[in-house]
Amino acid sequence: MSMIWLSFVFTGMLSLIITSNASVIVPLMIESVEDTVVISFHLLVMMVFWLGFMKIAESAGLLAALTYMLRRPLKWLFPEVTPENPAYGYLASNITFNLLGLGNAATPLGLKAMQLMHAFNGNNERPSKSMLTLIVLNTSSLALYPTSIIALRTAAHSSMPSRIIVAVILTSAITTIVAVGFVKIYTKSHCGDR
Amino acid sequence: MAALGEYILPIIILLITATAFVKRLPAIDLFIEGATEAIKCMSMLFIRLLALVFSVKLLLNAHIFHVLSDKIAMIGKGAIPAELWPLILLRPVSGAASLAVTEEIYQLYGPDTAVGLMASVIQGSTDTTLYIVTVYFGAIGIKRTKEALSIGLAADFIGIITAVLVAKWFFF
Repeated sequence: MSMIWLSFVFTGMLSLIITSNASVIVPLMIESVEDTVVISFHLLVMMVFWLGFMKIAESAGLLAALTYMLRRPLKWLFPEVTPENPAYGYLASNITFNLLGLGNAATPLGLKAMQLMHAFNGNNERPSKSMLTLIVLNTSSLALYPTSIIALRTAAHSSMPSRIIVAVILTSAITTIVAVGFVKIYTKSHCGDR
Repeated sequence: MAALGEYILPIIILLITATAFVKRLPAIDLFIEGATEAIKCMSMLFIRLLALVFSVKLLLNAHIFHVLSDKIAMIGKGAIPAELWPLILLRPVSGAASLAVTEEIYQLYGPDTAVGLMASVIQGSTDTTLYIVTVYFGAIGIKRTKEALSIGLAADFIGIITAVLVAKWFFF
């Protein structure tokens, strides 16, 4: 990430200087903070409510019930997380929410699962296999009903906004499987059976 | 189904509160305990997000993506429509920018044309990898993001090829 960040900032600065546009740098900085406040605010709203409600769900045994229903795929995806680990419930709810198309609500639960897996991994600097799997599951955005893109197509006056559903689900499914496969292959060749 | 989707959230919360009622849980204390963690998490995340937003903003300002996509479009002629390259390059980097490009494609070519359909599948079936890696690792303070980024970006690459192939096979 450090290299990517450096090259972005470097390229940006270089182009500002070449195009003699140096005066936009301060407005860009101000805009960055404004945008980050907006993004963080949305994320915070989701985190406050979902981490709050999920704590109740956890105590009520609802997460355990969800975990039980999803135990087979969870075992396969996150082999080193034991079912007794509280991360299991948050992994299960993250996956469920993503599948339901509630991506915004899924993020806080994924973060919580990440935190619990990190602690389980001995707060190691190196992310574990399960942590990588959780990330690729969230970047490949598999959903049973792609809400946002259909809303976008509707707004653009598509004659058939939902025409892409099957294609989107199929693509997401293939990408998800490939990404999980990448994690399995990568961790096998770099970290043994960790 | 879209209308039904709106009911999912209240139904889930209803289910949670109903169970808490039956089990006579100290629901408000639990809620506050969980919600407090959000503040802690955010205090770690904010600056990391700011750093990412700033660098992406600089890069977008440099219009490097349009120059790059013109170059790549010349090489990959025929396989992938040239209009899609800005979207392909931006998708893993910036959610807002790729959304804007998709809207632009809809406006210029229409959402039901070949290009519009392909753009829909790309936009709908992938996500902003840089942002997700930043948030998921930033929240717990992991600095080593090499593995996650390379796997995530490789998956995006496969995802885009799949999206184009699936769209071609599906719609034409």
